[in-house]
Amino acid sequence: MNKKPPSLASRFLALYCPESLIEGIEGDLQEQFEYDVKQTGERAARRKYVWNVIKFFRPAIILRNKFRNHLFQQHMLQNYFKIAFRSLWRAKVHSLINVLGLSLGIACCILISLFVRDELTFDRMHKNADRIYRVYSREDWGEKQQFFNTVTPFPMGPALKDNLPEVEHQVRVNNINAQLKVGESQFNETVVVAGQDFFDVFDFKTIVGDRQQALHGQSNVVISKRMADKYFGTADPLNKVIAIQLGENFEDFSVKAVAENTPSNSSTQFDVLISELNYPKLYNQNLLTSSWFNIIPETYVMLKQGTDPTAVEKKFPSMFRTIIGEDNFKKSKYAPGLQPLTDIHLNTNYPVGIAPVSNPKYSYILAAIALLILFVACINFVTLSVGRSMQRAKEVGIRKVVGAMRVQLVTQFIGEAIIVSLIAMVIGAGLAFANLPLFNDLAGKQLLFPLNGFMILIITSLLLVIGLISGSYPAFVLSSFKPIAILKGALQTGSSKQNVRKVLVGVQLVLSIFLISSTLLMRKQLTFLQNKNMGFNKEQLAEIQLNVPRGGTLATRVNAGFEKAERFKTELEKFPDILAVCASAHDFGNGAWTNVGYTDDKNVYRTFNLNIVDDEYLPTLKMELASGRNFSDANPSDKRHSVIVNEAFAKEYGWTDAIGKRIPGKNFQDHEVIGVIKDFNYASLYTKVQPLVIVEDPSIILSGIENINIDNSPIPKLMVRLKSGNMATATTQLKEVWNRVSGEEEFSFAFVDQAMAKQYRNDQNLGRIVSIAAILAILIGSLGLYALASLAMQNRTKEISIRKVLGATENSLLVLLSKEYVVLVVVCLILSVPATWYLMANWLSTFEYRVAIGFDVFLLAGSISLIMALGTICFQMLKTVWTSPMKNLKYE
Amino acid sequence: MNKEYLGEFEELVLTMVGILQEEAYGNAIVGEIDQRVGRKVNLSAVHVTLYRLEDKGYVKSYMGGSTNARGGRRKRIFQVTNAGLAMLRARKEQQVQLWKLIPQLKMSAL
Repeated sequence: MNKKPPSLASRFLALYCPESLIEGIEGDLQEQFEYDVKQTGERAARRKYVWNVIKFFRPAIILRNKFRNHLFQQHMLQNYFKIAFRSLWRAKVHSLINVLGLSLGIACCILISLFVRDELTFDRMHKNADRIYRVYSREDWGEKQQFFNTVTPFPMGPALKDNLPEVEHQVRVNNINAQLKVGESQFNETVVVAGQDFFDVFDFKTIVGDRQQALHGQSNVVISKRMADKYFGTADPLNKVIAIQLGENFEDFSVKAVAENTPSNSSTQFDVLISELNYPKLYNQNLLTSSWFNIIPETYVMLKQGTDPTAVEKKFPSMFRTIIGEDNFKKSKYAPGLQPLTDIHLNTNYPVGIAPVSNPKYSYILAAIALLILFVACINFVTLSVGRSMQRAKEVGIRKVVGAMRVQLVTQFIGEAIIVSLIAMVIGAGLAFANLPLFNDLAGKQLLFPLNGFMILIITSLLLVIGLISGSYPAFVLSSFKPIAILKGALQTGSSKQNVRKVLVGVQLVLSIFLISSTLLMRKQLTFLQNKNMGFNKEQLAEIQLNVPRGGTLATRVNAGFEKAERFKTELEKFPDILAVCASAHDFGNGAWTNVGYTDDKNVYRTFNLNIVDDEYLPTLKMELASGRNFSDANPSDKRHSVIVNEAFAKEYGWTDAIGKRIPGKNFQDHEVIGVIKDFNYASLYTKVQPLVIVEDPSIILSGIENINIDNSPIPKLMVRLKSGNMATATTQLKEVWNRVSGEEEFSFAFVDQAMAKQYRNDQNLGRIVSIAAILAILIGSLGLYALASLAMQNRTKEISIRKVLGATENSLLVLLSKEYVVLVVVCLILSVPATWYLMANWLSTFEYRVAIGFDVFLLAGSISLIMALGTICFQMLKTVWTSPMKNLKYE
Repeated sequence: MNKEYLGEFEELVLTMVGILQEEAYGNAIVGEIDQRVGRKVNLSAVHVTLYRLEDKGYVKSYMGGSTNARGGRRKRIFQVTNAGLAMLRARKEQQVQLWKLIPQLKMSAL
């Protein structure tokens, strides 16, 4: 028995094995070892011993008894609860501040997490979402003629499906504006024309009807629940007839299915859906089958399970080389590709097609704001708990003397924090629920308040995070007190703790000042946008969409529109409240104007925007000419011969005197510039004013261009200048005339200033959200400051009393007391300036026309915070200063 | 998990504790399993199972007397409790019941 097992292994065993088990285990191992020595020799036995020790190193052994903490007994828990509620109740004001602050923070977090989730789950509701791709088109003709688009030529989809076995389905989707007739009523709707496999690719749910077959008939239509209610009310919509104007005539469609309203987080939105079998009625044959450089619909493909999209893309070059011909392929460097469906919504590197794209920055900013507010609320909790630690110190001392372990105390205090957060959670969730409509309005969403796994996850994680973050610091501070020191009464508020609190309050202040100055700056920029002189008068100016029957070329339709406009003009001129009327192919606030490109006589590719107007356009919009003259009916050659350009155009071409010049393109019809109009912002203030040409007859220009980009229908709109003060009568008169001339057609009417303001909606909403956040941050921050000041004053009562006895005046005392807070605010102001400057400069850079960041904003923000801070603490200060010193000192 | 649940290995170890009576400790159980069922089992696995059975209340343990063997260390002896015995009995009956439900194969069927 002189052979010994390896000592290293034994020591390792002793290290991890619980004491209660070690004797039995070690004995067994030793016995085995002795047996093995006899059987197989010492070396093998030692090896086996080591191996056995390692095998014992498992959770069931190591952790045995570790987690069975018998200290968690029911009566102790009961006691913790009782004490928690008692101490909350005793410090009612503090508890209220805590709960209020936290619940505001929680409400923000809940709402914003709903928003962020909506953004991040865009298009993920389709079960095959990971196999669906949108085709993009890319052409490079050299010389600034690069075209990158997420809409594609019509033949793209079928070509991909026919040539590539990996493509399971292809769906083309595009929107058209059309007149709808249901019974006698007429509506102006966006009709979505989609491939027959639409419902095989996208999982939009239908309520009634056969979704598989719905798009396989030429005269079938699928409508959304919303439209079913609008058109048919409570009646069964199935097989009802809707007439849609596709060509010149209305065609009857029968409702084959009613779909649920498309979810708000879907890129593809539809209310009225018809099959691509109707394409021949909308577009000519050439466009549909062989026109590879006209891009209209979005094309989606669904790849077969397990297909690598890059492998599919690799086949594109050889495929398109054969389809579009070697020559075209070389010249255009035709290079389409695939973009994942789930990538569409938040990827701003791709141009916007039909599906809307949103900037992920918006989500980040909102999430950051929510976390900031929550953070500010948590800081409150920490400062207050630490501040109140003196009152709790005796309790801690007694508990420790009676035998409480530190872990127990920590658990107790963290538990209290969780109780507070639980109460805050209930209130916060209620606040979030109540304010959801307001938030939806701000965020431009239709979010619901779901009681699903996600919400439960958010709530529990918030609860734990808040409880742990805000509970742990006070818990560790409180539990670290030495019982002897506490009970002897020797414990003093350490200045270090005071400093910790000051740093925390400082952080709050920095955040508040940051938010206030951001709010002020954003407000300044938004007012600037509103009041910026656009180069024309946008007040009391209305725009009315005219309807022109489909069919015929775009040019004939545009002409038909201008003829219709003439009828309105003669009718409307009779009313005194209508000051001026004109017609224009493009209006304001509804997206880009027609853009054309051509190669000039020096072989340089150039682009400009084009608008078609009548001779009343300039006076109606109150635009000014820099030189030259307006179109005039008195001068009949103007119609066929004259163009007006804007200053940006003249500048780009280096013309000092533009009058009589010709746009330098070979194929333009004979024309001359008769006037230069002062630059006006026809797009938004995000971009610079681009070169613009205004004509009465577009054929002058259209004959000489190589590319045209029509984002918005150039079907003419009426622009009507109304007399101020009589808007209501003027609009009713407009409506009357409309009904007389256009009959049952839908009257779509908007004010130009409102339509233009809509372009900045996202930024306006962001501004409103930031200002709400600023208010919340100030509110929560001042609550914290108030509580902090009240504690600080309590500690200084005696000092103040003695100072008073010795003859200090009230004023000097107030200065003394408020000095440190003023210093704090100033320091925080200085700290917050760089961050604000950086972030706001970033935001402002999205605008071409913007205000400068001045120090006035920071000064104002600083003074607001200083006033808020002093206002908050002055009550506490005055109370301390005004109390008779006798009261405070007589018990000494 | 159902508290009444007993795993296959747990049942085996529990049975062995019942068989070995006063000599039921880690090594002996490993040996006994080898001898009776011909299965090589791990000492650590047996220990862990024994502790788990103890948690479930099917066995209890005490330290035996010290000997000179084992480097003077005492054995941890396990004992089947009444609950353990009842469990074993219930399992046996359950198995018999189930066995009866299987249609008995006839030689002719083969």
